[in-house]
Amino acid sequence: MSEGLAGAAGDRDGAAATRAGAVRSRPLVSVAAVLAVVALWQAAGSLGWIGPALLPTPAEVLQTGRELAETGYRQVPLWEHILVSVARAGVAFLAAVLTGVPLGLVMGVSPTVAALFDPFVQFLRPLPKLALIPLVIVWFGIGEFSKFFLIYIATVLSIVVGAAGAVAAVGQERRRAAAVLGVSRYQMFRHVLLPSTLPELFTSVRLALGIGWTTLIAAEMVAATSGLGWMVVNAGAYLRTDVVMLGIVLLGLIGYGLDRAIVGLQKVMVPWTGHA
Amino acid sequence: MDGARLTAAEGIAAPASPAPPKIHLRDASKRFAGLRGGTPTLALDRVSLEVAEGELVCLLGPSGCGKSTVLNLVAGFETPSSGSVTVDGRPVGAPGPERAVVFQQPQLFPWLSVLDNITFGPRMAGVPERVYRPEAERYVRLIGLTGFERHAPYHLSGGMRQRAALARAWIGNPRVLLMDEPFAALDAQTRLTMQELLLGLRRQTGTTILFVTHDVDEALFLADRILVMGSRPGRVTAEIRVPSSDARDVDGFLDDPVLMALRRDVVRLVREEARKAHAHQPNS
Repeated sequence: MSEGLAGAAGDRDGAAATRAGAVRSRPLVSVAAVLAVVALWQAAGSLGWIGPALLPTPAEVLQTGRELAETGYRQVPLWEHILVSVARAGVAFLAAVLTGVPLGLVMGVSPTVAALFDPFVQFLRPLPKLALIPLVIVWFGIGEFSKFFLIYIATVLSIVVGAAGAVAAVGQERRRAAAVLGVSRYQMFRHVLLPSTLPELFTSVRLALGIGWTTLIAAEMVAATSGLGWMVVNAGAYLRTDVVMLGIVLLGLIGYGLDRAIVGLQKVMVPWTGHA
Repeated sequence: MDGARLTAAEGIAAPASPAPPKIHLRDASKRFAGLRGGTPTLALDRVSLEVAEGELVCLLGPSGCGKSTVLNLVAGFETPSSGSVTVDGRPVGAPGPERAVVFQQPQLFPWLSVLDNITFGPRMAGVPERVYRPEAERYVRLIGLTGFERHAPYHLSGGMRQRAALARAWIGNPRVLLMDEPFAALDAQTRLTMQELLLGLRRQTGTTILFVTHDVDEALFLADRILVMGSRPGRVTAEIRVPSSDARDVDGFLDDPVLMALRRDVVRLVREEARKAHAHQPNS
């Protein structure tokens, strides 16, 4: 054996992966940065730089959090607000993944199907989904389905485009390498194209999750009585900036957690991400 | 999965003239449409060539001479604009395992282990495991990857990956093996090892090989016969028969005065073609 094992910390990792690695390998720097910002935020309130009505301090937000956890906000417990929001976004997002990924993959394989759906996908995708709210209310009323529909429509289109693009990005050489090994059309799809697209599919799904979580606020503006998005909007109307801040922090933390969950899933399912 | 072939064919018989050629191009031309209505390019101009059973032929030439296009026609990736391309007397159709290809990049599937990559073809064809498994183990041994069967391809060095690609192409017992600069991306030492490995495998299997390269030494070291190609349009400009290709090793190769004299001639030929190609380039 004249050649040894190549370094496991491969030099082929993309620049993005390297940056992510740099963040992971310096957790102390990240933690220190967060602590510094929180301290500055606290100081801004404690030292009277900014009035408490404009910017409640972290300690106040934490206190509000404790209170809401015990007594709830507008007769609804805090955990229920959280659960309702996660369920709304989760169900709609899952539906978007389950329909968008297959449709996008088929569009990537079949030019006819692509030509059929492409005009609608391309028209709807850049459309600001908030413009749909009046129509959605007229069509579906103000129940749960309107909220589901708004989040679904906001996420499914970018997933479709991402999946179709992932198929198109599979190189000619890889297709040829599979073709000379004698694969059928179905085997090409199932055993070559599908696994080839997985890393990019995960990226699309991650981006879509961000969009879906963002759309939650808009969806819960449609006559909801619970949910984190509704809580933030409602509290804003009553100048409860501490509740607004709490909602923002919770939305951010949950969004971050969901993103990390997808990244974790990707590590398990697609360990070859970044390796041609 | 014909095990007998592996051991039976020791050494390569000189191509017997009455036998029909394994690979046969007759006046094959390939024209590529120009971009945005530009003038079409004639990549190959009435190329005729034959490769006999068990022969190893190198297509040698500067980049852009159409040597890869010849290979793509035989593989079935592209169809000739005119003329004919046959393997075993039958016109070439869609790509398939009977015309195996090794590319410059190993093109292993990163989601499969080394062994699963090697057995990919038989598994897709529905060959039972008890048939392909011993065959795969034999090839793993032949290419020297024992102990690495369960490794992910991206944890192997470039040379080891290309070994696996070689086994993956060979395990289907192809009628012809097509190689498109398979060692060009490897470092010089690894390339030598791979060339010797290729000759060893070929001695054992007797597989007919069409090998594309731009490296004169590689062509002289490997080939029974070298076809030098020229560009604009791509065509075969010279044929060189390389003496005594059996049981060749690197030391003997470097010490052989006949081969070294041949090398001078071939280098001159190739440089002449490269010079002509350069002179034709509008912006040079």
